Amino acid sequence: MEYTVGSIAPIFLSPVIAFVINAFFGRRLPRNGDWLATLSVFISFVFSARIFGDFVFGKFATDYFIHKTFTWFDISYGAQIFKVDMGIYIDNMAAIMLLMVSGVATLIHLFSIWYMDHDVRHGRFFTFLPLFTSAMLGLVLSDNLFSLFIFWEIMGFCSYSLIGIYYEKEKAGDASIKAFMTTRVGDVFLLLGIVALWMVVGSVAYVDIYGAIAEGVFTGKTVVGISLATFAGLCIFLGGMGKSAQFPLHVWLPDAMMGPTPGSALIHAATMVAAGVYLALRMYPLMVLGDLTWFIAVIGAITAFGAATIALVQTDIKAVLAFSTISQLGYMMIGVGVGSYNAAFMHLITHAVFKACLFLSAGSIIHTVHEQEMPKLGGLRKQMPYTFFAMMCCTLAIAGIPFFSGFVSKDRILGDALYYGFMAGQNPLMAIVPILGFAGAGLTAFYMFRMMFLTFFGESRAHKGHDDHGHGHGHAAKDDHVHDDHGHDDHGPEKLNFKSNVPLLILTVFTFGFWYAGTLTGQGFGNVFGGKQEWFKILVEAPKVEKFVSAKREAFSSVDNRDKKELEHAHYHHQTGYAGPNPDEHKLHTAHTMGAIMSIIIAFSGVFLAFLMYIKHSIKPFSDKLPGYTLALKNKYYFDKFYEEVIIKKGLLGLNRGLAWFDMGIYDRYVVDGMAVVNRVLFKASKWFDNVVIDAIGVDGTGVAVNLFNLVLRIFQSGKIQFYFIMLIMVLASYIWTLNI
Amino acid sequence: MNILNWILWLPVIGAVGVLAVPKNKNNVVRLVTLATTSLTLLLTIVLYMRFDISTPDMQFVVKTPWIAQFHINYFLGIDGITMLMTFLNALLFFICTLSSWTVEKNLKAYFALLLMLQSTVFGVFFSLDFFLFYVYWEVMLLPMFFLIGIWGGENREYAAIKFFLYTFFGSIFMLVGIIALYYATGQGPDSFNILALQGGKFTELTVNVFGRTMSFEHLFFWFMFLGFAVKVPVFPFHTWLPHAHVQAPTAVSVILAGVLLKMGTYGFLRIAFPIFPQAAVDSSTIIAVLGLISVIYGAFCAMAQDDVKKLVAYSSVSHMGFVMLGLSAMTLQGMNGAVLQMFNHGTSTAMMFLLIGILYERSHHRWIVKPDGSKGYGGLYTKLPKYSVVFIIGMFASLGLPGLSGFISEALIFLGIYQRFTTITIIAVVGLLIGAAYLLWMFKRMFFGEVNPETEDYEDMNSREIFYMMPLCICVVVFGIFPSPLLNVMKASVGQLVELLAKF
Amino acid sequence: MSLASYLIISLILFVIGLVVMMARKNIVAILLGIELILNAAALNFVAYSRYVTNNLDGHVFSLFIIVVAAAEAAVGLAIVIRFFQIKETIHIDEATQLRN
Repeated sequence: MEYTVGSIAPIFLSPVIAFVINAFFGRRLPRNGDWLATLSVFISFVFSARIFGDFVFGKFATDYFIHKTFTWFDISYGAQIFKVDMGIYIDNMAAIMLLMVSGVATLIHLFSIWYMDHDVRHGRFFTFLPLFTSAMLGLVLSDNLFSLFIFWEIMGFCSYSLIGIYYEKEKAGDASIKAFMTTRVGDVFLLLGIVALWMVVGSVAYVDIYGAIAEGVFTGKTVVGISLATFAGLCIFLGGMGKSAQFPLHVWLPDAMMGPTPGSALIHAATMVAAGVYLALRMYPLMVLGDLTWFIAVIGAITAFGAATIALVQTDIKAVLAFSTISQLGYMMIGVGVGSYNAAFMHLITHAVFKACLFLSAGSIIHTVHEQEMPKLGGLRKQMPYTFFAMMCCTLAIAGIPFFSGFVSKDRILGDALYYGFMAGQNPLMAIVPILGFAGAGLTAFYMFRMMFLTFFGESRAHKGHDDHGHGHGHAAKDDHVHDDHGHDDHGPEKLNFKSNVPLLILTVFTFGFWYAGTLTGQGFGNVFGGKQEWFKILVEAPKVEKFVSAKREAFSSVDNRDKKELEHAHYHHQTGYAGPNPDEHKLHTAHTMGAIMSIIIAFSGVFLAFLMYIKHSIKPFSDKLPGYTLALKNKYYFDKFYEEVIIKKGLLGLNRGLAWFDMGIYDRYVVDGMAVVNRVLFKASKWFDNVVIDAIGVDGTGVAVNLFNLVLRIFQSGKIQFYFIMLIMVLASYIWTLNI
Repeated sequence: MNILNWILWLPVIGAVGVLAVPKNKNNVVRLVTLATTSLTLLLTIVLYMRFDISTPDMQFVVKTPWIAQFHINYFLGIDGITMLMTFLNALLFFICTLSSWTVEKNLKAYFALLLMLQSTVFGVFFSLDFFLFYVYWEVMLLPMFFLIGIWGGENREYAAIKFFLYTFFGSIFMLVGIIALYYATGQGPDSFNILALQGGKFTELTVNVFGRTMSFEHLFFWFMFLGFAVKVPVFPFHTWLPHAHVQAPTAVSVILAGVLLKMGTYGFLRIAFPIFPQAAVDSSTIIAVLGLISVIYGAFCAMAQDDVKKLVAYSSVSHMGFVMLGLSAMTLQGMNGAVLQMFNHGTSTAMMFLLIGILYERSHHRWIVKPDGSKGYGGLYTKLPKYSVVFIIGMFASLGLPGLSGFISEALIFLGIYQRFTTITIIAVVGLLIGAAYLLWMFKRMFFGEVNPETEDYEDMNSREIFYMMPLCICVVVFGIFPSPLLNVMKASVGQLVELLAKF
Repeated sequence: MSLASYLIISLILFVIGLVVMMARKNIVAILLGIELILNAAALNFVAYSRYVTNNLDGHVFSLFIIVVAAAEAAVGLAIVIRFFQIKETIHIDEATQLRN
């Protein structure tokens, strides 16, 4: 069937409408319109589910895509053509992504109704939450990088607003700026990359970029000395690094937990951080062309391992989850880098599900116990059985335990990384990618179970009575003091609550591996399981740029650009899912088997180590043995401090103050106002010339001459009669004298 | 009678009316001014509706001999670029009248001068006769001088004189250029006709300066450049701006940043580029570099400011630098982006200055951090929720958040400039980054955190303030999502200019 | 007695009068000096009249001189009195209004 815009647009528009209504009338609506926000996102979910069903369960062939465009604005004049098109582009990846985003967001909204109840920022939270969701959905629907960038930035704004929602706290302000600015560092490069692509390709629609790559438009083009593909790819990946919190732009994500926990869940799982990986996947052909995949893999590996080490020492339950997010995003980037295209995407989806669930569970704990410091928690297993169950499943998933979703996706990434690092004939240094990857996997298992053991097992260390809320202000958001103090004195086992537990349990269902590793032989729902090919491998593959050559011009035709007949030729050839260099099916298989075995061993040993340390207490926590390293870890390798103290305070602010001082103190005072001084000197000089040379010497000089003569004559004009008389006599005498002689 | 005449002279009639009001009838004065400015705005909207967007030619042309001996005409007309500026001017003056409601000192003179200023600004935009243009350009300084010098802050005389002299310095060079053009065209009937002078008629001409033969175009392009660059202001002619803004009363700051700065870039678009296209194309690298320096330097300087008004003043330097970058690109995207940025900067900066003015009426200071190191504000978010929301809209529009107006123009400018000066583009994105940094940092220091006890008795925006902020909020949001109404109006005129420049 | 001795006496009188006029600061003394000079002149007239022309012309002139001298002294003293009334002194150096 033909998809009309009307059946796609509500995915994006309904949360936008909810945002607008809540922004203007939220206060007048019952319960600040939280139901409206939730409903709007649920509507998105329904429409997304329909698309997902059509794409995955048989209506469309694997390489089908919907592409509809309209002109946003057009500034063409005469022969010069320039118009900006917006459009919708849905392929398998986008369809899966839409379902994930809207689904997870719906559950987060539902949970938030419970979590944010009686919170002073209830209304504001439910204004920005749907906007955030709609921005992410818009980003996924976008057919081009420009509109992707727009939604990308709107998400940045939403994260800014959600992180800084408790604006009476200084720290919230700092964290929100940090999030916005750190991601913006990537964003401006992304914009630059988009501009560079636009000017070469003539459009930034994905299909046009793919087509341009296939046609070799990039060949031989350079920008500032490096090849255009590398330049644009690097810029775009920098954007992804910022949003997906990759080293060294990862610093904002841990601070982002200043916001309410469901907001963090949305940022960490479904929306913000997923966007960077999604972008890297979308632009994968460009990354390959620009020879950037090794760089992506290395950045991913550093991030995956580094963040895992930092997570080892965190005591705040949300901080552990935040660093685990960074670490898992690193794995996704490894996946993109080593060519494990569909596994990277699958990890994006599986991670979104279990991380959302983990954050919501953490939110559930925080909201119930009003405590998020793990040393003060413990023994919650009996008190919160549903939360424990949900969190346990997610932890198993993230730790890479078989039969859970994390194993399916992460194991495949690691298998491909193993192949890439050791067998694909890459630079031997690339071995660092699988090594760090596996090490990080072990650490992940360890710190996640450390968190579980500290939180749910052992004796309850939670202090009785919650009147002293002053403690631990150095740490993350203490949501509790803005909540009404209600109902946290009864510490009996939690009852199944529709709003708080059901979202967790639904998400938990999707942490099982079979959902993702299921197979698909034909079309139609009945054949999902039982085939030979995993449906993910069939549906998600690296874009084949060749097939977009013809699509390039058709893209503006505003219709689905696939003929019905092509659907019959759906090809389910055996796929390795590996899109990296030198694929060798046999070796890949070996690598995957090895990788699976290794990661199982590593994961279980990590769990076992955590068990020994935190349940049996037979091994002392290593922090006692390595105090210096622990300190460095606690300070997050001093990255935050370095950025804050050196780059921001000393570098940027110093430069600013210097320049501002130069501008007003030197330039304005001396150069500009110096013109006045020069002027003053000039007018003084001309005044002097005028007064002295012209006036005094020239004009007054005549007077002076007269005066001088006058002075001489004045001697004779003494006024003394006798003197005159003497003069008279003398003159007379001399006259006579002269006459006589 | 031609509608342009009405728009041009209505404020003058209003000014006379204001002066005719008996003393102590302050409300009558205000109402007369408000009636005048709203009628002007209404006429501008009528003008927009009657405007034909399909043609790049001048419309609503009026041409009457003025000083016939020298072929000086009273020659008015508008094209797409002017249309936007006219609308911006009418809108901002309407808003400024409302924001000046609380002015008490010498009210009659204040509003009369404000209306005179509006008329002269319209005059600058409408004039198609070079002599008339210059007259309006200079006369415009007078009301500004008095508005800053009488109703300004503590250091107002210094700022007013600085503003006057700086602008005058530039316009003297322009006058020389006008006279040179007058003789270069043989003192014929079109020697002051801006339209007739356009199109690269002086490419071959040379002049002797100090015994050296120089290209007429290049020499006088730079003369014109000086005249307009001071007004924009382009680095290094920018230092009058922080002084003038800090000292000027709110409404005058709004007009200064919102409209008067655009007169500089408008001068480039209407005069410097089309009359001297060869020189403009040859000099575009220098213009781009100066624009780039303005962007980066303005942003860096803004970040260090403790006075919030000075911060926004420097941000204007930075944003107008983007306009210069777009102009220097001389491509379709760059030029359209530049003109759009002129409009968008007009609305977003006007918002910022109005908001600062609103806050100033409550606090009587503008320190983010007071000179003694204590916080000037803090916790305003809690204290002034409505104000904060409007502030966020203005601030994010200013830093170019997609969905708000600033983004499209900046993106277009980048698209345009990238084609010509790739390296400059790469450096200029840093400006975007710093642009976000200083605004957010300012916002954090003023709005986040505990409520400052000093701000205890501040009241949130009243209905008058909300009423006059609304049009700007709507402009910023609507034109951020649907830029076509603006782009469609100007694209023919801009396209024609780009076509002209492409020939050189 | 010859003409010469008369002339010598007359010269002596004239010189004394001249010196008094030039040296004394008292206006009255100066007036006296003038009288001496006039008397010296009168003596000359009489002496020449006796020894050279041998008629009475010289005598008549000397009588004129005596009369004029008396009138002049009266005018002079009147000026002196008026001067004294203004300046409260009769010191000649105070009469400097003609200076410059």
